Amino acid sequence: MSQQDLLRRVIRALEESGSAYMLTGSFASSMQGEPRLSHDIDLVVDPTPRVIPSLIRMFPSPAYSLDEQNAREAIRARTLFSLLHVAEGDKIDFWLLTDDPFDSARFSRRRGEDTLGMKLFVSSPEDTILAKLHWAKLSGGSEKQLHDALRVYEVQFSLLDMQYLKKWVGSLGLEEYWDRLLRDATP
Amino acid sequence: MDPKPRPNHGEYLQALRAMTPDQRLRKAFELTQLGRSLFVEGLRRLHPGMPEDQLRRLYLDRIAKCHNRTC
Repeated sequence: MSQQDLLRRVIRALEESGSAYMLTGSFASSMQGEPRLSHDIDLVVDPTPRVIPSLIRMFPSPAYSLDEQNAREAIRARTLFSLLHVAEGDKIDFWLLTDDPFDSARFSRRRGEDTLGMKLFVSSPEDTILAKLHWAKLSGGSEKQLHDALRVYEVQFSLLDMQYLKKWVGSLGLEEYWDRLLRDATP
Repeated sequence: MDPKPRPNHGEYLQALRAMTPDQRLRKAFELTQLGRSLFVEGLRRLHPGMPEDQLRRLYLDRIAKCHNRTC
């Protein structure tokens, strides 16, 4: 199964379970900035109780690896669980929606995009940039995260809500990385 | 951030802007597929004569080490 078919099928499982989601991470930055290779697809998910049965039914072992106990614990603790397509090594990371103010804000701003023959909910470009800068900060300055953020900024420049960006740059303490992005950007 | 000279960067950004989100997403999937093919071919050259199933396991082992890391 191709990576896009895996994503389509995961979205179908989430929708069938009534769970809201949004695409984030490198595939969101690829959609909004510069396409790049990645073996991980990142989704933020607000799950219903039906989500695990739905995923297990659609992604049975041994073709797929999904640790049910780990997934239930992740949902309880609002952390992360993963689904692995064993034959291809492709992975979907399910980040559980938290009540963190930025997490809530970005999830409420997600937008539906017509892609891959379906409607896919995706993080807004501003929130993709902020999340990438946040990860750059957490990882001690990951060039990959900064590069992704920079390209989204450059490609989406005329459409960005700068007030929203500046507000969250301050709230999340991202000034160092934001300033670096502004220095390197070619708008 | 990036020491590489980019003399045509403005044109490159215009080309990216001209693509739809759907096209950019599909390109990312293509790049992942291309990267995978090149990776497997590199392993095949590194281990000539290795059976395909063993090569596959080696590939998956390497990919697992890459997940969520800079590799």
